[in-house]
Amino acid sequence: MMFSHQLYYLYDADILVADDDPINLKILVSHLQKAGYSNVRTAGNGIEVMEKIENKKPDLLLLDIIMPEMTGFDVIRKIRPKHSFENLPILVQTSISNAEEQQQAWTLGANDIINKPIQRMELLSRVYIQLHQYLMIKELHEYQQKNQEEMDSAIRLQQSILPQQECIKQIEEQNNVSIHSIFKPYRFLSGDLWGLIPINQDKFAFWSSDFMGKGLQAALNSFRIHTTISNSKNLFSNPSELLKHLNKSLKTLIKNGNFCTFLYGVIDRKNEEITYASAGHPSLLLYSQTNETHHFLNTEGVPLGVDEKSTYTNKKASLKNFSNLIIYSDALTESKDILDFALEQDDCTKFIDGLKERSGYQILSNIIQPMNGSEITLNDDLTFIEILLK
Amino acid sequence: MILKSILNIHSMDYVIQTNDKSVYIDIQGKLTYVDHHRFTEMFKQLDQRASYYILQLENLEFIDSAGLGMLIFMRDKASEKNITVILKGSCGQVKKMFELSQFNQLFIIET
Repeated sequence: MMFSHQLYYLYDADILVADDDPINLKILVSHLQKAGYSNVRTAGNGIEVMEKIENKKPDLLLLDIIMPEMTGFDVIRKIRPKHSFENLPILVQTSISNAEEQQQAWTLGANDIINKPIQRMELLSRVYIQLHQYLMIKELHEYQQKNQEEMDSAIRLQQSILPQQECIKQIEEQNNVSIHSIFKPYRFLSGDLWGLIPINQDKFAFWSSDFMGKGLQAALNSFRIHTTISNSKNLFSNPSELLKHLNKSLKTLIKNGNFCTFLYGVIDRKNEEITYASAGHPSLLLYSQTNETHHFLNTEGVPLGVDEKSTYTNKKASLKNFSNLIIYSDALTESKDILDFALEQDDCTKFIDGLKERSGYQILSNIIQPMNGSEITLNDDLTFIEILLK
Repeated sequence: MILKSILNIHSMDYVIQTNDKSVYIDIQGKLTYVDHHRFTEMFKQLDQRASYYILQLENLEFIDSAGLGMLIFMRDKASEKNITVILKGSCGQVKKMFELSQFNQLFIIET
């Protein structure tokens, strides 16, 4: 026929033909079977139609209007409102001269009308078009559902590789800190990821990564970086060497033009200092509650995965007198229109001033998930980690 | 956002001028994820026998991480043909982004 996308199983479709006139019924079935339809069922009246479709939902219903006991109109009225039948193609046979009947068929929700007396080509064309459309949509729907299931399992996987409660608790107790975080994908999956690594009584490490782009590809790449870090235990206390190693392994894995900004820091509670290395990650914010001062640390560095020859240096900063250490993704530097502040810019005072009274986590939570329930969505994946130094 | 890519709305404009071995590309506006297609189309037009691609960025107001990715893509592709990419005249937010990502280690940067 005239369609390019052939559905090989179209002729196996389950067609239910209803007509109270046995001769008419025979003609309809004969036309359909000769055209190749192999699953044609019949019904002699409206009640029989109801029984048969409740028993097994057909792929198409070819319905006569004037039938005893229960008319074709009654059948449509009854089944159309039901969720499971709202997309069932219904073809109605009406008399070509009866405009009122046709009008009502359309009003009740028939998909198409076939004129009586039946013309073979008209019948077959209309049946084919309805089935084709119905089956294509059904196929698409199933495909979508499968995708959704895969997406859901990827989202669960991503959630499961974020720091879990036990790990956070262990570090909080061991290193005398408290840690709060917000991790919010732009849609479904995030290209951001972060992690915590307990080292010993004095030290623990954190990291944060942001792959260019958003969605599935960026998320899959972030899984790679998580795996590579987990396999680099010997470098956990040496940020610059870890970055060098990650850079080399990512360069071979990712495509031209793609890259990842990354930050890895080791917090030493004994000497109250942080040693970190950065690959173009947004800055690290230190805030002192006693002095009401803040400081953005220098996080310059070539992003990971761009040039295999890139090297990184360890930088140190004192944590003495600082109470909050805040790590954030670039969603917080580029969303001024939504948040009403942008970190690292001249417009960050609203956030910094707020730190006198509340934690950064509380400030951001109140903006993003306000009490009235209207959740705010940023234009990028968001990661926010606050470490309170006790 | 999807609508933007369907309609091919872009935020960047460019002018190309070729002078012997140097290709000058004047980029204006914003270089962001919506310009991906436009940027690759622009790249295809450049003379591959040149020695230098000189991107003039005086009028580029904003770049996001996807925009940085496009420049890196250009650098990688150009170096296969022994062409050097020069970033010239960046200022404001663009200059800051180049500094954060230490682009001076990847490109020749001129003021």
